[in-house]
Amino acid sequence: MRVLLRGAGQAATARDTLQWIGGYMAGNGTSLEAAHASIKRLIAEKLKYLVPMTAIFMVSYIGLTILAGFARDLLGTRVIGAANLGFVLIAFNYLLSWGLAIAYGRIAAEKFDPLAASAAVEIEGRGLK
Amino acid sequence: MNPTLGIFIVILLITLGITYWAARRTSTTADFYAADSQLTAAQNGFALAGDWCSAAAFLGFTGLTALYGMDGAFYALGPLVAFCTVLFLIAEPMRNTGKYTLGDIIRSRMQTRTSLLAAIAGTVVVNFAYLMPQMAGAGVLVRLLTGISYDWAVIFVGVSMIIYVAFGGMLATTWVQIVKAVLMLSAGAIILVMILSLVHFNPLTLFADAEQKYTAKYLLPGNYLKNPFDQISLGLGYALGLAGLPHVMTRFYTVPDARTARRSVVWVMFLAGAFFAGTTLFGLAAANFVGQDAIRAADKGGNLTLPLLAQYLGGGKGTFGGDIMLGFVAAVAVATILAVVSALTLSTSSAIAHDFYVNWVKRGQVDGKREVWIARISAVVIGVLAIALGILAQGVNVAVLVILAICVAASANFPVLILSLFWRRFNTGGVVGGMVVGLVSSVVLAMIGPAMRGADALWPLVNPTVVSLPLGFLGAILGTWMWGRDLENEQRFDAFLLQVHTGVAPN
Repeated sequence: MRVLLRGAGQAATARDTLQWIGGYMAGNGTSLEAAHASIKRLIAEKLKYLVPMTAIFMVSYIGLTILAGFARDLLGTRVIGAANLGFVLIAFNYLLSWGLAIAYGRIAAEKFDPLAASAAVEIEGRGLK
Repeated sequence: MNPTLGIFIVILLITLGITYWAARRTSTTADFYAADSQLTAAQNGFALAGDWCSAAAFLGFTGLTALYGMDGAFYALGPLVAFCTVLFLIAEPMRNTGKYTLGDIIRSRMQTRTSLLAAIAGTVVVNFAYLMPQMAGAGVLVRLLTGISYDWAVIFVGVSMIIYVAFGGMLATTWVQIVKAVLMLSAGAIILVMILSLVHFNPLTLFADAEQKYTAKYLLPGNYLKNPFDQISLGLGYALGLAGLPHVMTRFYTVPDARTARRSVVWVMFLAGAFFAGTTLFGLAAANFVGQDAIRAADKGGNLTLPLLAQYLGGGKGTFGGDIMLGFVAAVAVATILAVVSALTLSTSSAIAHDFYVNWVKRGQVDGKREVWIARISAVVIGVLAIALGILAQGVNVAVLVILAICVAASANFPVLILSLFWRRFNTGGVVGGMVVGLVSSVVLAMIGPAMRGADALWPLVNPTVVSLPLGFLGAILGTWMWGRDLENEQRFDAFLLQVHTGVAPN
């Protein structure tokens, strides 16, 4: 996650933008700049959702494997009939993965796709010049 | 005739028919490597399910749960959770930046020949480490199920996969995977309904019966994975290793855009995830109905648990229903192996033909027709090599290779891939550093561990991912530092980011 943050964080600095404009503006027109601005918004939007979502499933799943390694008796606590806490948490991880998948699909379609589409138009618009 | 053989011959004829149909539609490189990127989300979702569920998943998870309880359920959960990582971080960037291989992404990011070579090494090592135990497993399984000898079983599986891949390329491989996924899911659904009807549709009864029969310890974790760090290695290896398995990741090139790639992941998560969840119930049911003694008597590792359970549910040994159910599940198991080894052969031949021969040796100066020929020939050579290795592997402990494949994928391919996509400063030195350190630490630690050396192990973990994965990242970061700043590469990263997020290259 740190890497993801770092990569995007760097992309968002003004220095990079200036460097980029300095390097490319000469013959490339302005819509590529617009594309970069859109991508920056898109990355910020992605981070807003993907950091917590990734953290949730990693903590839930890796946390469960840590419990399985170091807290075996705790996972053996009976919860529903003979099904113990371990099996309940395993079932929870299935539901969590499916829930996150559906949520991601919705969020991506509503929030990410429009930004990506406008950036794509801006990039291609430059190509037509 | 033996019903397994009968059902299997029907499956074989169907897949050969598919290959004939696919071969007539496969002429360009885009056809051969990526089925012309024309699949729908549902088609690719089924193909991903067929690709990702190896015989280890189809037979192994049920057996592990039957013999060791909760640890088997952990083995089944990991492969589903792995797709969260792929969905959030990998699938769409992969579709947007690459063309046919993992090497494409590294090449378009770094634009150096050295980094391409490192990517090829990662692909070939992981694929062969995965392919060899699949071939050995196929030999054992086909021998057990049909009665032909181990060597002939390996040759038979190898020749089938060569025919699918060399003639039908990605299109044939895809449809073999779809057929296999449909068969596997149908078998799973039938078995599930039969089990549930035996316990009056209350799955909790399975837990209560198992507890009564084998004591509460059976339902605890740690019966199979004794070392706590092996539990964590398993989790990390799955959660991050899938994203580094080239034969699964190249499936995202078979769809037209990132949106379809994303939707195909959601499909596979429900299809394969439901099957994985099912294996836990199948395992408990097998422990209750068939019994651990009978399971161990048939195969020490529990790999025949699911066929035995199917036989029991069909009416038992010697009955017509029992024979048909056993035959069906056994035939699906063979189809499962065929689908997976085909994908591995295709992915390896893409790396050899597209990455190594065309882009490394010939620097891209090869016309498409010739490239397809090279890829077909590579598929034949790799298939023959796989047959030879499979025959040599008889009686050798190949379990270490299974661990190695996922461990190298997580420790070498994953760090390199994720840093290429998201870290501006990452450079060729980092690609080489991550690949070398991840690969060497995985191989060395797996070789000196208990999977290879048993009681003489110099190192306690069967699965070294918990150590080798951080080492792989460390190697990638140190390699980046030692290489020094590559300002041209860092400037190019803006253009690369546009492509990662939109699929459109600004040139």
